[in-house]
Amino acid sequence: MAGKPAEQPPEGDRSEIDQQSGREGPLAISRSQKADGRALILYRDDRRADELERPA
Amino acid sequence: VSELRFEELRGEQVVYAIQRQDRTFLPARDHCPLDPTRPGGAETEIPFPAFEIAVFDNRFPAFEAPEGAAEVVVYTDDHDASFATLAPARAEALMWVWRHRYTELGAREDIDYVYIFENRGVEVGVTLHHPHGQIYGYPFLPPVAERELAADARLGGCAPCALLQRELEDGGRVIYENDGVVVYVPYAARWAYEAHVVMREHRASVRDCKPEELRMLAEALQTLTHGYDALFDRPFPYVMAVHQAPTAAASRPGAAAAGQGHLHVEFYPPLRTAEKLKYLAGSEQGAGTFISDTLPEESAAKLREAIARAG
Repeated sequence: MAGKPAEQPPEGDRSEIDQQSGREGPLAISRSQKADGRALILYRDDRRADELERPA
Repeated sequence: VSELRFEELRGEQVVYAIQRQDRTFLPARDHCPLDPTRPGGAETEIPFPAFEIAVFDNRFPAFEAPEGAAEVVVYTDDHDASFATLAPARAEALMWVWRHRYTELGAREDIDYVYIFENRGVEVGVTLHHPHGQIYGYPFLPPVAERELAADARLGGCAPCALLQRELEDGGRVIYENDGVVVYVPYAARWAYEAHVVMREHRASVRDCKPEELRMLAEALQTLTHGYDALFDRPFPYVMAVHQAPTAAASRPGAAAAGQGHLHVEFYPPLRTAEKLKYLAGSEQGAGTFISDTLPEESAAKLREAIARAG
């Protein structure tokens, strides 16, 4: 795989959640930075209940 | 910062991460660092009152940029859940999180191998009971991944594809299957209740899976872990190891050929009976050869029964 530089956490308020910063399939991704500078990523599944129904 | 030293006799890297000596060790229930931060309470690793799935840089990393990565994946804000008891939609969502982290970490020049895993139970060294897994981004190709590439060369093609075909033809060790995934106790299982969860189609990584395949992978993993818990009617300890294609650039040692690698998840449970642990002792540690007390075919039959019981 071709390499590329690491993506850096966004600047901003510490321990504050950012606006939605991306998606992966059904997941909304929000990135933030902890008080000590470590990255934190939150994933939220925003599928509706009827989209989560399983095939029989 | 960790230090790598190459152990010449075994031909493998040893990682010295001495900062991990002080990591949090089995904290009291109300001091779990992976719980959400309660209003008025002390801030945990996740400074929000609720969350679905969270990933963060390990506070006590074995690897860190610019020489790798160590991340923690918290499956839920429910301290008392487990991978098996997650709602099916949450387990499926976790597959997408794996996909996201594999893609992003694998694109980094300093990471040759993205390894997603879960240690469950104090028997395998768990220090936090809150349901979570980990991701290591290795700045080199670790030995097991290297051996899997060597197996491809030895068998003249994708080794997991060939082994899956053998297991399906035999059938005696298959314990669960759906349209996308097959679960079996391997012919040469090292652990008494070892199981491999293998994609039916050749998929180098989670990145190559169709959405429906990710759903079926989650379903298979939950079916197996439910079965494990039913086997001895107790929380079943295991190491869950997600094996995928290396992500090393083509110029790096151990780089995989295009399309090489086959996504599969291996489980190494240390229990050989309800109360007895398998220890890695003289033969396993000193000679590198597992001695097993159980036949894979017999373990497969017991696991099939346990999965049926777990329903």
